[in-house]
Amino acid sequence: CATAPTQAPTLRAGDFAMTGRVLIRQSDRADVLRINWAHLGPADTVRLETSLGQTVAEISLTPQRAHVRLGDGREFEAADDASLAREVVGVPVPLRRFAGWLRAEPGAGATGVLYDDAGRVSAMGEAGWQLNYSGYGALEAVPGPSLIEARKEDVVVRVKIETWSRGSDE
Amino acid sequence: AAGMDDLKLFLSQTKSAKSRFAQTVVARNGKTTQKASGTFVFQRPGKFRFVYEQPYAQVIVGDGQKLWTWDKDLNQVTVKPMTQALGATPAALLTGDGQLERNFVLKDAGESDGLAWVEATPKQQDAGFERVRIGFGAGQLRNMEVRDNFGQTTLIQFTSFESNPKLDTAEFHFTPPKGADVVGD
Repeated sequence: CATAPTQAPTLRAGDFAMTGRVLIRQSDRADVLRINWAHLGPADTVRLETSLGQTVAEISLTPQRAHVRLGDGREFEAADDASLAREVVGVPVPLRRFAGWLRAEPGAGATGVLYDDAGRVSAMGEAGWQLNYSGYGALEAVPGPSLIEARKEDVVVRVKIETWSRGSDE
Repeated sequence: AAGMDDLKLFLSQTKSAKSRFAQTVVARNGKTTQKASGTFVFQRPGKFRFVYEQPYAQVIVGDGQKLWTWDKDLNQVTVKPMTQALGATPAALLTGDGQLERNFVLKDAGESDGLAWVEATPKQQDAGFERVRIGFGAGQLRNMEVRDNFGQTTLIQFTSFESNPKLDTAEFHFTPPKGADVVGD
């Protein structure tokens, strides 16, 4: 078929590309959006969309910078990922840690890690956030949990994973 | 101009409708990132119910004043005032009060794929999408293509389209399911 303008990212081990939906709630304000997350080595590209598929925000994170372009054309960078997230979704989510959170991988600062009877992470705490995991094996193409919830004070970020493609070793 | 005539006919004759829809989202790299389907009901002006059935359960209801969204997996109901949510959105093109020229520049976009097309470009700079194309077949709504500001396109195909069906007013009223958390005003 016609070659795509820019090729889909080739995934290496540890890389992943997921699609799903995310709830971002803070006290009496909440948004439900579609989310696409591509984790390629040290870089992450996150696209938030409306239910009808229009891009609301495209965030790119590299070790050096955190940049966002919004659906209405505004663009900006932020010193750190949490303040960038606050600009985009009104909530200071540590975006650079989120790829690890999606894979239920406790980071260096993780505390209170709990495992289910199959030895999979069911809960953990990190950077003031409480993470809860469920829906392992709910989707055969999704190796990890399919429902991830991160809570901190009056903020809830809940992700339902629909598709997950992993990088391979070759 | 076929497309524009069909649009005018659609706006004046189709006061309400019931249909199935299939939604495909194609990212700017040409990759299909989502396929979903469900049912769509609307009644002018401004009342509609989008029900995503596959691959997940999500209901979006515009009751004329408020926009309700319920996502079953996320177990969340959000409610927002409709003025801020609707205005110049793709949904407004289909379900609005017919004064589209207020929010859109409309022009005939010729005939292709057996359909007569109209192109609608939002007058608002920050509408969140670049343009919408609507395709009519035998005078009835068949396709809608929404292109956002990132080169991403959503294709929606309407099938089993029923114009002015008998509708239960409960269609455009949203009752949160038991146990679901409701947030918003």
